[in-house]
Amino acid sequence: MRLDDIAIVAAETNRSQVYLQALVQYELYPNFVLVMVNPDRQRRPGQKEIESQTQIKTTDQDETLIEQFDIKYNPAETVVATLQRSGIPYLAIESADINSDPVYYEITHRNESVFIYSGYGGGILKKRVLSCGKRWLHVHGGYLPDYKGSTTNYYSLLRENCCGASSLWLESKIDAGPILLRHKVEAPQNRKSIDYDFDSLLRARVLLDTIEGYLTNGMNWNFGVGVCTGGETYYIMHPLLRHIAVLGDPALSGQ
Amino acid sequence: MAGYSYSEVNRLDTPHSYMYTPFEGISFLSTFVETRLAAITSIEQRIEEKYPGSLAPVPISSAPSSLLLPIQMQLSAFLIDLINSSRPGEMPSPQKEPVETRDLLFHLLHQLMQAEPDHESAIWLNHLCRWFEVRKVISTRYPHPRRRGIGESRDLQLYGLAALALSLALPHYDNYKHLNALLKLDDLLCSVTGEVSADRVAAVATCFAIKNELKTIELLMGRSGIKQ
Repeated sequence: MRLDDIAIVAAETNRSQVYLQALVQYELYPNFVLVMVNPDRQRRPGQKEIESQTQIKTTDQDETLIEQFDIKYNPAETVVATLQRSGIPYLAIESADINSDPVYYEITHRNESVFIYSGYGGGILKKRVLSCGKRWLHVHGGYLPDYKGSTTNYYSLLRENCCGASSLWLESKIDAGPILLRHKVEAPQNRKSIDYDFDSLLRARVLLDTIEGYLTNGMNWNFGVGVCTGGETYYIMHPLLRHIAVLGDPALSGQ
Repeated sequence: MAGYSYSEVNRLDTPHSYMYTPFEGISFLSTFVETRLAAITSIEQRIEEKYPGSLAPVPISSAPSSLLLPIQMQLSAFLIDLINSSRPGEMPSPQKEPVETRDLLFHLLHQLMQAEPDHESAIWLNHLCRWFEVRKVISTRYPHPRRRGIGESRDLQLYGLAALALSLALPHYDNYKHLNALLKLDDLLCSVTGEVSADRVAAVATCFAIKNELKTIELLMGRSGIKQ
């Protein structure tokens, strides 16, 4: 099904790969995708090293969790390759910055009213982009409103041995926009890949379910959890704590 | 010993963003501990020469009902006397009032030495975390708790006292945000041990902040089933 009113701002990142492959798998085709290509060709936040992309070691439990998401993912297929094989109109633009003039120009000259944001890690939409007349849909890697901010799934790992993802409308205040849909799942046994594959698959599942909700609701976005008040805002986790979160025995987490 | 990059360069001059840090395996935990111990040793040697007895530890009680982090935190008699004598007036309102950071820190330290700190302390600790996490500096004054700080931002006494406050907060609140900010603050302090050692208050506060931090990390690792 063509999603006439939905576009995506993507980047050559693991998350964008998974989003697009998942949407195509479920035959949900965005009307347009703007692909931000990093002009200096250095690895950006959210991009895995090429040599680690093709092999993910998972335990039996991880396979179960990935089956639970019901998404087939090929880490070797680039974002552009997915768009080409599925016939989704796209434009690759040489800019890694969502707030840059060329990106702003392209966005504001599109007719779609809803843009899904899947840019490079750490990118924050500034006021000009947030108020350009588009609604920005984003999937946060954490269960809102409990876990706002950054690296939140590592905090929920330490506290509750779980991970979450939540779709919401972006507003100027970070992670404070109305929540559409959220999932909380048990953490995988192999926690080393949480930053990339597991997190991306969970977010993609939430994205798919959010769009299904939109379609089921008669192409109307008036559904969801609603306001996103309360909770805690977390800051980028220190590597020492992250190592404890990753190396810890899952059976003992959350104590 | 492989380098611990987070304290290798002066973090006052070159703050670390901590974005997408690499996973280095279990040996990273040993590297971290060894780096912290080396920093403590370096500071202690210099302080004991100039100010003998400043580092003699005195255990302080944590919240009696706290089963969250049953750690016996430590201070020195020098610090306890300083905290008791330096606390000015009442704690400012954490909703709106401007603060002199030094005054605030002494208020907090005094509260955190008690069995049950007051409600405002928890709010101020959150502000303190945000100030440092967002800008990676601690300023001498904050015109409003939610605004950027103004004034000097290289007073290492403030960094040492802030780290000490966060370390004493851990048994009271069991809050990973406090521990996270403390780890980054201690990275900064360990990156400038020479300058830290030049100031008695900064040096003694830093040593005890790091010792309390290491106790907490040891407990967390045990809880998580991690054996080095």
